Amino acid sequence: MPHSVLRRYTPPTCTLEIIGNHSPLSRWMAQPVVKNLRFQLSLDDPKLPQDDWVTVRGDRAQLEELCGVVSGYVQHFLEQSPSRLGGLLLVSPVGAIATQPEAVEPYPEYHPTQPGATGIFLQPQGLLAHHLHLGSLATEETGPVARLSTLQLFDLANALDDYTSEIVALPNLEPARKGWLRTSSAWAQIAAVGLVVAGLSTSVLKLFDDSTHRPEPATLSQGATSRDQKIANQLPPAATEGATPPVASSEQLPSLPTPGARVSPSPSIPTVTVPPVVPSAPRTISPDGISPSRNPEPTTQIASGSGAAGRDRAETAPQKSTVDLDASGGVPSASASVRPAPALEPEFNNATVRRSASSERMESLRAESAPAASAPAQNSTAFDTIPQVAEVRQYFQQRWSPPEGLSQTIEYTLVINQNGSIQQILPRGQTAGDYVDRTGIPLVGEPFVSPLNTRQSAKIRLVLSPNGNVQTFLE
Amino acid sequence: MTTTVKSPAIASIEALSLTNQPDPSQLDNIKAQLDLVLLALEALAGIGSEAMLQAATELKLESLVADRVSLWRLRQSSPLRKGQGGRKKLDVEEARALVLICCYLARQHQELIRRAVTLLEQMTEQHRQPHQSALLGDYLDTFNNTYQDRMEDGDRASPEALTHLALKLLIDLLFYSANNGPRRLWLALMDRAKEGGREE
Repeated sequence: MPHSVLRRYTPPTCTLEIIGNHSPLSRWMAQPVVKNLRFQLSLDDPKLPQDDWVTVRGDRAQLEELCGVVSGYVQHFLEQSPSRLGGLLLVSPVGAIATQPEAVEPYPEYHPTQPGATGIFLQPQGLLAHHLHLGSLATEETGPVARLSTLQLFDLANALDDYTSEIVALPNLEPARKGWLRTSSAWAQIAAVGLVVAGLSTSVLKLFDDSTHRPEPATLSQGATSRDQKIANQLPPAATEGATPPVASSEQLPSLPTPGARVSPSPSIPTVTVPPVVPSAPRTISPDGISPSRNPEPTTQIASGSGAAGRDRAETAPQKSTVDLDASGGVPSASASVRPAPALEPEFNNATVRRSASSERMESLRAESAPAASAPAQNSTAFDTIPQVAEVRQYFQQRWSPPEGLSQTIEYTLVINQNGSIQQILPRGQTAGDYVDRTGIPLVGEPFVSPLNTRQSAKIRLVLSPNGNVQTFLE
Repeated sequence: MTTTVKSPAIASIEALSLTNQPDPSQLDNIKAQLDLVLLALEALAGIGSEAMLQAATELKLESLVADRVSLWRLRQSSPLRKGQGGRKKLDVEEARALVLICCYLARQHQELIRRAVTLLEQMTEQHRQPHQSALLGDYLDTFNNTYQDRMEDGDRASPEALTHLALKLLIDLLFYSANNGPRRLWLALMDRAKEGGREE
């Protein structure tokens, strides 16, 4: 299903577009449920010259943080109205209404919101201006800070509130899984295998222990099964969640291969063989190879396994925070309402893993727009939100030899079909168009990368440098 | 201006809940603030008690704000007001009703509020005094005069302080005029009440 603009909020001074897919869950909910959510926010106050307009794009986590930051800031702003002319107000200079920063001083309670994990926060500049620090949303074009007038802040807060009350955003399971599973799934799988091996060996050892006392075969087998069952029961919550689904592992592995290696179409074999070890272990493991000193291992591995599960939990937390925001809309409580921004923060922090991945992607986009980006070509980066990104990079790392006369970086947008072939090649700029035949880009329709697992199509930005560097990013 | 009232989603009184019953000093803060928000609305949009009662009827809050006298007593409950005679204790239900009325009226006059804030921004950018614009000048004058008439500390309040208060309330009104204005105002009141309670 292609991404589509699901909602567009257009208060007078900004435009918020919500892009994503309708989730089938929508039919069970009163509100639309959206997955793969992205957003575009344009601060397009018609009173300002177009040069001053700012457009930022981001993902669900960033949008939620933005919602939390803005609503917390607005709430705090509203709480600052003096309800009585106390000493402070009686001496306050009229300059306090000015937009100059020094005007803030008589009102030290106009605190900026605390920056969250994405570095988004708001800072007051007097009563009528506010600095929105864009954090991970910043690009070269936007700069780090967007200045908001009070009207813009009002419109932005309303657009975000309307979004919050209208749409339930699902955590973006796919990219998130890709984000951290690349590193952790391998560990989780090792942990799982380790657990099984160690656990079984312990039980087998115990059996042997038992067997010295009670050599009856019946008891022996009984003991074995119950212990095995216990171990099997302990396993799933810790290890299976992240580690066992073969689909996940086949998606992950392409980004792991050693430098230079072309990804094979079936890279998942090593991992896929992992789960079968579980049932076969009782048959293959011989008690000879097992020493009691291995016993401590399971505990450490359980820890790493549950770490993976913990991250899994962290993953669902942001969704809860949406619900909380919503719920508190209906049921504001004195205690919950006091400091909205800090209260939300821990929940947002839970999402750090995914968010940092996306902020890195932003950084990568920034790096990409700098023509002199000379980072050494890597074979797998944190930006490979889908394995095809790494595959494309490896493909060109093997083939790209800069033609003579090319003096600048050339960029292409490659639209990948569901089956992994190229649907469209979009040169970005005149030079890129001129050199398209010398890039080694396969023809439209030719097999290129492994089929997309979860998407109908993908747009991958290919950046080829005259010094031989190759960079790819998911657009 | 495209600030049309999109949905008549009138916030229900149940939406404004609270976990702890405010103590009397907190309620004092709430009463004072609500009276000031209504004062700002009066000064800017010329809203009188008639419009406030009309709003109460449309919000089905007649049981809490039945007539001019009960409205007067509610507003007179502000500790800032002159004269203690006839002061009524404001309970949480009545506070909620006033929150809904404030925001309903702010919403009705959102366009005007927005225009006033736009002007304020423009004047500030041009380093001009807000009084130099007719709309803001009238608002500030009316606010200052009414405040001095009604409030205990009105005579002692510096014009600058009153101007600042009026402008801050104007900006606040803008935020209260939004869909979720009632929630914003309610939360602001509750939080302030808490802080006020701590101070006292």
